[in-house]
Amino acid sequence: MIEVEGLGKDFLVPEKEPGVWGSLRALVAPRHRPVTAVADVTFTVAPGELLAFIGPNGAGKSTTIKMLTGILHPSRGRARVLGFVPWEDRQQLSFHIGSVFGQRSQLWLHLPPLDSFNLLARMYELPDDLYRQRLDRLVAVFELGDLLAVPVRKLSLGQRMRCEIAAALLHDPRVLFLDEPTIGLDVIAKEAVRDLILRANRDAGVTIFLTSHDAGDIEKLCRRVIIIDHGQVLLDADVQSLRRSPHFSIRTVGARLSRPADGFACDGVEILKRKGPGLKLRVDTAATPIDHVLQALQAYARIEDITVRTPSLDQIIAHIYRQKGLPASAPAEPAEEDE
Amino acid sequence: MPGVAGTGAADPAGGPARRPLPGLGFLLALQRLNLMAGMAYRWSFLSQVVFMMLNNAIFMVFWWVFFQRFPQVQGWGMDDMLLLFALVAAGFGLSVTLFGNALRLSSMIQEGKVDVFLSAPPDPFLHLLMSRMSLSGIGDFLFGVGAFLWLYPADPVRWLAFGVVVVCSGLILTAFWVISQCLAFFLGGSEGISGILAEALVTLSMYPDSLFTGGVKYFVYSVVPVGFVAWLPVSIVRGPGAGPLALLVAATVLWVWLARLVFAAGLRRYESGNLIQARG
Repeated sequence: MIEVEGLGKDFLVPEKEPGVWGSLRALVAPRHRPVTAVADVTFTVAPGELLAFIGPNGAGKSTTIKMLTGILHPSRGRARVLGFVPWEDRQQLSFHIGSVFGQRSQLWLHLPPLDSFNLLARMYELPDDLYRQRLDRLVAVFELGDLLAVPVRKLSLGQRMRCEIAAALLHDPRVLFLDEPTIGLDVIAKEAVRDLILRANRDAGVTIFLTSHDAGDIEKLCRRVIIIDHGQVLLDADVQSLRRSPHFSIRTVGARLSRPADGFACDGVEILKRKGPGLKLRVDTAATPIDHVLQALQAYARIEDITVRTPSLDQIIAHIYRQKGLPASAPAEPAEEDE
Repeated sequence: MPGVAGTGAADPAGGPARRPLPGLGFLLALQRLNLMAGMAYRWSFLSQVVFMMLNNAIFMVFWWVFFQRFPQVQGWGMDDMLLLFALVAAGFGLSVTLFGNALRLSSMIQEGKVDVFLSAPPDPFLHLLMSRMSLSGIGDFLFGVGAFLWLYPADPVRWLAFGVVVVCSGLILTAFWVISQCLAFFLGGSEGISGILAEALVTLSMYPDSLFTGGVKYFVYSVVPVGFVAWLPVSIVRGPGAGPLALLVAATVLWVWLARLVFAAGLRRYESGNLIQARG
């Protein structure tokens, strides 16, 4: 469905020293520095996959999407999307793919979404009856009935994003590129948008290629994640295996005991916090099995309450970024899970 | 993986055939949407149209006062100036009404706003240019047509000639603007120079050609096509003839072809961007 091999993109960026003197020098003798936005990216995406393509700011995510949708010409490498070379067969490819750029709109700001949908139907050369049929379906699924006649400028960001995704699905694309679709949305709107993306993938079989800074998007939507930085693939893994990876064998154990925890000690366990009968421990389960810790606790006192937490995906991604020496700009929304 | 070469006309995913230009139905729908977007603010819409007509009328009043004192300037009288102004206003109005993004292309390129058009099926050239309507252009166009009908209230041959030359004039204006605005693809921040070139063309086209002689005359019929935007159209309306008309049509085809060529070359250098923005 998507095949990418050694794809890369360089830009020439003007350089200027600060101040008026720097501006004058740049005027007389401008200098440019080559910047590699995407160095060398290789991966494939199978039909029906829901893939997260993530990385810190400036990692090359958006540039890769723009090359895969034909917006940018690459400096090197090859890519095929649905059998097309995107930057050469852009027009034909556009009939089969949809794209939503969270920071850009394809809806007309001063008009209701229905007017934009009508134009998109013409743009994608949809016969009237097919268009009506698809529109009715999308309006029902995306609950757009009350929004169709409201000018886009009057819609909330979440409502607008629902309309954007519906607009991108109107021509029944086989691949949907989503560039930060939940950016700026509140928790409820994020959930609604994620649900719609999931339904498009499950019900209509649309292959989804998603970039996001929000670990919640990846956690709740994707089965596979590719992490890139400086335009290179750092990790290509299954989201579940990422969670279970030996690198992420750390567990946080919280316990309330029947007596003060002052005297508790256990080999291979780091005590993070101790307050009265309460205890918070950090356990590397690769070195110290969790049942060993439980036995030690039971030997010390009766356990009145206990929780074992896995690291959130957010923490895992931040950990990978740190391991690779990247700025840990990954995501908010901490979501620890009980085991 | 197969080679990197394009697939040309074949469509491995079985979609519609590739077409060089967007369909007429789509372009009409686009213009209808532009008009509807413009009319979303009723008073803004009406005031822009009416005040542009008034603005043009006031300009002509200045010329009328001038010609009261000096009836002829190198063979040009008040009627000639009114015809020239009617033609340029109608051509300008037609251009900015139908191709409202022609004068914004430079900033759109710099701000990465071309993305939306590149990810859609229609050919981006017309789709981009026609995705905005300058409402004041409607006022210019109506003033131009009104002024022409004032001059030639019952002359169907001249009406026909006027219609053809206004379309040609508007297309050449648009093509010239596109080329100058496309400098942004190659130079980066070119809004200033693009704006100066656009203004120069319109300003020069509002004066009689007899003011320009020698080498300047070649300049204004080539690098800056004032001759084709204003003076040749005026001479065609004054005395319609097949030769000059053919020359004007040929110049129009040439300028439009050049504009497409420069735009296509620029797109290959397009670098996109990441600004937060909305269309409309």
